[in-house]
Amino acid sequence: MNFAQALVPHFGRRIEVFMDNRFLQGTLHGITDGILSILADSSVYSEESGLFSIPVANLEFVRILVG
Amino acid sequence: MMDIQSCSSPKKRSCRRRRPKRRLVRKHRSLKKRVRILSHRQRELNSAIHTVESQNASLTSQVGSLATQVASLTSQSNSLAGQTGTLGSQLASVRTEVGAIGANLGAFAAQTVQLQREFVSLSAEFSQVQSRVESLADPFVATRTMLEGRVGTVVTIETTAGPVAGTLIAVGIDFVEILEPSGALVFIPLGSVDAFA
Repeated sequence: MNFAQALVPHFGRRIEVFMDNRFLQGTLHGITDGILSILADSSVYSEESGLFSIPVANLEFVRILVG
Repeated sequence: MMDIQSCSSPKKRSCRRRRPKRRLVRKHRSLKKRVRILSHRQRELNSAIHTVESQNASLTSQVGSLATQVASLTSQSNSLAGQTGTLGSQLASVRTEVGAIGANLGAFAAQTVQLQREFVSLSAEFSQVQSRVESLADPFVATRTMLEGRVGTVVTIETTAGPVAGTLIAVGIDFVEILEPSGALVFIPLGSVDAFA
């Protein structure tokens, strides 16, 4: 199993995406062809919201939040 | 005639008449008996002659067959003699080649030793190249192998975005999965692992 396949069961879950120097929080929308899609919402740590597509190669890690 | 003259009885006349007749009869009987014996003997001889003639014909036939076989064997013998000559010539040629090969054997042996050394050297280089290719094809093999031995234990993974600590619950082809104390799952690409403890 690879990284993208491991995230498939968690579509629709609340996630945090960590990059080198950026952080997004939102809902896991999908992951295809090495691109992770997140429907971000603004928070204390990130004011940006909307659908973001992030190359998996640029990810540091993805946290699947509880609940 | 003597018997006729010596007959002195009164009945000489009858004696004279009977005795020659009896003798002739006996002689006749004897001759008949001899004729029968001779006839029988003739039949036996005829049979024997017939048998001999039959055997003679058979032997004549066998002699003819043997003559044919002798001719065939003579022909084969001549052919074998020719082949023997050819083989003898070839044998001489082979002996010459064997001699030449024997003379070069030392050089071949030296070349073989040299080739064996080169083979060992190339095998070592091949192993290195193979290892390098495997490394290029799967750059995370070393990290993954080490982390697979830590599954089920608490680890700390250092990344550029910060450390992640928790129980290592899975190691995939290109990622690790960690269960944090809060219950959150963290998926970290192996390419983002800076260090782990």
